[in-house]
Amino acid sequence: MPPSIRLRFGSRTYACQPGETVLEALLRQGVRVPHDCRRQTCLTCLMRSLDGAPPPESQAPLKETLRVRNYFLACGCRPRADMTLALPTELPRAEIGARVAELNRLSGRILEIVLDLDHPLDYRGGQSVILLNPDGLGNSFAIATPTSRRHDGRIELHVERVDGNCLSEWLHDHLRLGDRLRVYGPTGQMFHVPLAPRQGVVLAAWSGALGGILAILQDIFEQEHTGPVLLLHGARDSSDLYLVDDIREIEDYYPNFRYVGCAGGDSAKPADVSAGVSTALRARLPRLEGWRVYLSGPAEFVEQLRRQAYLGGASIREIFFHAATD
Amino acid sequence: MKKLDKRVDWGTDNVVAKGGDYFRLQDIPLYDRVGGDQAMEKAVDVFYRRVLQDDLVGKFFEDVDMEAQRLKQKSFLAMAFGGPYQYTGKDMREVHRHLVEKMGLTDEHFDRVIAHFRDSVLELHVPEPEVQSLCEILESFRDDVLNR
Repeated sequence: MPPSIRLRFGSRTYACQPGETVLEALLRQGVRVPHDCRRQTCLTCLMRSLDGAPPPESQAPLKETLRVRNYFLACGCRPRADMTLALPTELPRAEIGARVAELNRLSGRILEIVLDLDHPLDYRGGQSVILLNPDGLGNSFAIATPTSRRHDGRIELHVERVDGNCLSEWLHDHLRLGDRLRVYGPTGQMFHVPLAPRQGVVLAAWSGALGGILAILQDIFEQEHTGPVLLLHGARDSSDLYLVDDIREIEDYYPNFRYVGCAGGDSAKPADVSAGVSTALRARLPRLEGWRVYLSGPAEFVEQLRRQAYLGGASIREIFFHAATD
Repeated sequence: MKKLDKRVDWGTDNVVAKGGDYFRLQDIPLYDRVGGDQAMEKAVDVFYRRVLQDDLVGKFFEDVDMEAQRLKQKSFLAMAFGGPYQYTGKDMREVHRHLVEKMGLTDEHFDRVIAHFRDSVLELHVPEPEVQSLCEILESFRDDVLNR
């Protein structure tokens, strides 16, 4: 009889019998892990393999950014070798000290913070880090630095001043060069994965969420992508559109790139933050079959545009997004 | 596989062109005949996009995560086609209970979803007799879905 597989989870090891799924094995031994449908449709039993790729059939319904990081569905995973597992919420994340190297005001409300990390962070551009100040105030911000520079140990964050968000107010009002902060991460499932040659890409960001999107944009052009690339930046007011000249310059180097700043939204429905970008996207790309889509901003912005992209023909596996939860 | 009694023209891959009879004799499930999981991937996108944009039933899909919802639709379609999933009447009751109680899900909505399903499978060139059986399978869930 073939030996059973060993599953390392938490501080313990569990046996997995031949033919058993990871979920069945854990539940059988009294381990309470989230699960529901048991048929790879609800995604509740999502876990991550920490020591190598899980069997590919356990990853089939997941999008590429999860697959490349060895996430899988426990109910669909019949291991072929020992595995070390973690729940998505329990992943060990590095806590790194950081020193403020630069502070650059990009607009009235956007502050760029450049941090020198005590040691490099293995991130992908577009992922986020959690910043903690000395008072213990914390929030997450997207990394605006391209993936290729992750060994430099220096990251750029775009911090938008949001009234009522204590950390953003503190960072804008009190942070000084040389100050130390704690950084925790990386987190997030929105980052660049390879494109098909000449595949179209549309990226859309709301206000200060532009930072993470710019990291992905840089990743795309570092790979000399020749397909059409459209960047839509939405903001309440035209004064909130920032780095406009720098982004426009990219159009000079890459004729396949277009940038559209969308300020003002829909005055009839001021709460509809996606309206300006939504209209611009519909006008320029009514059909999105075959396109890659990256979206970053508040939940309502992301949800509206996700839907628009999918209904416009984009494949669900080609839509990557990050919804800020704040 | 049973031995053939008649010659089949392998020059075309189109089940409709072949009249479907050969495969019927073999009892190969429709799920496999239309192309299995790959076909369900296409089918769910046709179907789900229709219901999301429908003015009568779209509202029932508004607050749910698109990706999870799509996967559920896909496995339900697969079941209807004879694929490797089973949904019991109890499953369907539970999943739709709050739609019935809180959002007024009725026969009218059920009819509309069946219509979209029918249009979707026709769009994918599933032959008419098969479309009829598929709709009958879905129809058999009416009372469970509506929690009656």
